[in-house]
Amino acid sequence: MAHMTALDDAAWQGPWRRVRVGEKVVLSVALLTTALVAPPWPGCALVAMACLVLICGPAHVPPRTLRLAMAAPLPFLVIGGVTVAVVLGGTPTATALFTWGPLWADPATVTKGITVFSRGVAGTLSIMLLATTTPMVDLLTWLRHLRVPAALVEIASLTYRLLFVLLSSALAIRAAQTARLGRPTLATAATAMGALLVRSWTRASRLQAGLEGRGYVDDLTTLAVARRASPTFMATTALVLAGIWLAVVAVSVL
Amino acid sequence: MHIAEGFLPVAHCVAWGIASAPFVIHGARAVIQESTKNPESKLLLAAAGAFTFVLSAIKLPSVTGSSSHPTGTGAGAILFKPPVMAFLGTVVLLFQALLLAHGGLTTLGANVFSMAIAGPWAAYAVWRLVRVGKGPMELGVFLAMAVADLVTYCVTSLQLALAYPDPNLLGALAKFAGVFALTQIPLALMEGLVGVLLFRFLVKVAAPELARRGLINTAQKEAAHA
Repeated sequence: MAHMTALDDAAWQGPWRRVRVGEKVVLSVALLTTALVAPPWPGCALVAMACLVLICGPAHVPPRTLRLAMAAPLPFLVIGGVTVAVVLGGTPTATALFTWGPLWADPATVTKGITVFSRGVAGTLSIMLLATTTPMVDLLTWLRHLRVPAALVEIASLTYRLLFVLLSSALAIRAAQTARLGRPTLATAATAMGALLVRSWTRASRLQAGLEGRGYVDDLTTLAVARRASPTFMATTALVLAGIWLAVVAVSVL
Repeated sequence: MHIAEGFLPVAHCVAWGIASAPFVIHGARAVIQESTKNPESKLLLAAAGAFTFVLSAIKLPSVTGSSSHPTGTGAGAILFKPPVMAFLGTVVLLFQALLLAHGGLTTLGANVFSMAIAGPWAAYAVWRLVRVGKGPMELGVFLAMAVADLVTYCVTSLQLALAYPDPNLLGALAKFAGVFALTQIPLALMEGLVGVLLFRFLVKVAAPELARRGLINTAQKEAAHA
């Protein structure tokens, strides 16, 4: 369970919890956009470095959490990058680095693969900056303020709240199966899924009954924590982005 | 199979977002209507979303040695219908991007199109076809769940091929489909088999709920109770 809630746990515990959601979204999205549109060198490298420094520095996220979180997208990025670098079919160019049957790669395709991989790593780290500093509850409250229909935010909020209940049920089921020396088989997976689905219905019905008893009619509005705008945070955002773009322009001019 | 953050060019992110939007809006409208008509259904829908997310915690045996997990979009399409899955799938993908770093925000449109729209709709079409043809429930469930996975994998491969088409699109499609086939085809068959076992289990323990959703008839419900 630890790895599935690691990012959320970090977001709840970190000092950036006190920063306004909108300000963190601006920083994260600006870095993400830079990662997507700036040249990979030095753009993506600087975005990745800025994210790593901010996450492990002022945001106080343990490096182990970051390593765990990156374990999911990294294999896809590596396999995807290699697949982009290697061409299937067509005529190999004169500068081909290797040819193997219909497969070949030349410096241009390898550069494309590295570019895609760099954008992927920098983009993932940009989103990680938001994910490790902003709990989902804060994001949903922010969406409510942006006038996203209340019913939709409500279902997303309830889904988030039920996640942890079901996650602990799923892990209890798995622990029980392991304790009985059960290996992961199709039958154990199906039984676990079935038990989980039935339990999710039961939990939802019981929660519904409990909430109705407390006068629940349309939505579960919670009080949002009032956070003051942070000029320092916004100035840092502007400085980081200006620095990255200045370096990008300088490298392209030189 | 999620496309990671930053992997698609900006134009493709925007195009897949636009392509997904009508389905997600249609699904969101269906969810709003349903929750206005029956406020108690909000919690059931939330439970369905949470269930789909938590499936990532259940391990399946994998042919390639790596651990895999079910996606549950086929089961969701049968149980809750594709429009609802389009919205719930979007919420789940958003949560997966921000809580697990699976997928991403810029690739959300592309991932929603493959996993929450194409997969569930294909699964539901196959399920209806088998049921209209009076085929057994097990066959319908197996095909629906396997097809949901396969269609998701094919659409994702197509999305990647369109983004990086090499000299020709077909070569790129074969390349991406070939690389991911090693894990995705066995996983699709595996999820189909798990689906059959899952629905057998549900017929035993949740027959009234399945009957209410029109998935089994009264005779099957009584047989399950007997």
